[in-house]
Amino acid sequence: MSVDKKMPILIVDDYKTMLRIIRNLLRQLEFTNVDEATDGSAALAKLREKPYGLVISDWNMQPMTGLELLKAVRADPKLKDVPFIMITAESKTENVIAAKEAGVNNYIVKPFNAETLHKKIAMVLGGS
Amino acid sequence: MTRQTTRDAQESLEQFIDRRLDSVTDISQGGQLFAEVVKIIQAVLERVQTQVSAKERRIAEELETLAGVIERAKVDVESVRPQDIRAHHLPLANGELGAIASHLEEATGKILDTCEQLENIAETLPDEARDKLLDCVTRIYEACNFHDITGQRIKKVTDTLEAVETRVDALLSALGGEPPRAEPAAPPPPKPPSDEDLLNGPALPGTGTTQDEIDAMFG
Repeated sequence: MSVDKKMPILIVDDYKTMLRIIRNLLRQLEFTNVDEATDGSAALAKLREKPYGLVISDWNMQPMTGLELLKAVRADPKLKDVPFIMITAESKTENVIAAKEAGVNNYIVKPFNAETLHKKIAMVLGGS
Repeated sequence: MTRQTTRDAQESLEQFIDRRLDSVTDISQGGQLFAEVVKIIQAVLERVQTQVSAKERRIAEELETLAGVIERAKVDVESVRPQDIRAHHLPLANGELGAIASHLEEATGKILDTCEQLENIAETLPDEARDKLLDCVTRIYEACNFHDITGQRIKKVTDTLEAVETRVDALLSALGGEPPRAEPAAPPPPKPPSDEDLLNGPALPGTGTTQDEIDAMFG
């Protein structure tokens, strides 16, 4: 199964530079339909506005963290099945466990490279 | 003194100490903690001297030693000049960290601008050259991850400095002083700068001399 490169992706990070880096890396992977949010609550609002095929979110943000966003997404009947990848500098085992328990589909530790991003997206979306 | 009289005397002494110590909680919120503790110890000593037994006399001596230790600690702490830490060193460190974060943001932004221009140029090249150039650009994007990681590390240091600031405020309050406003310490009297004095590192934004101003100095 191939991944639909035109599906809308929402990237969430409070560092605008990081949003730009992820957006550019996604563009190189030919994902061009990318929206941005700078914290969990803004992301949740966008997710409720239009359907997204994937959420790629940082963890450490205010006022709503990536984990809180993940939990809110999984608790919302309309959003609960949206694939969710966490990209974060939080690399402790307990963090990964907490994210898994909350229903994250995959987890990327910063700093990361394009190959890792590509691989994880393919794993989550079931394509190559 | 009968056993009953002695117990009565001890009880009243304990009640006296309890009552005075209870008042410390209120006083400590407004400062003067050390001074008040010393006062209490002196008051207890006076009481003990009028109701003395051998055991109480030993307690009195220990309290006297304790009062001395507290006084010396107060002098030691004051000699470290915690006001300078609060008023000068911590704001300086925070300012420098803020400037680092700002320079990183600016530099990363310029790197990304350039990468995006390179990507546009790559689209005009033959396939092999295009792919090679895009691969290089990808490596640069990956390396720019440093910005986020460094930013988070700076935030951690800033949080730590805030915690230090809070503790210094508590210390100043306990010593009986008011936490000073974040104003720089009084400047030292003017003297010709030594070579070492000239090594201040980069100036914070808005505090240094601009290139235009330097150019103007050279006519």
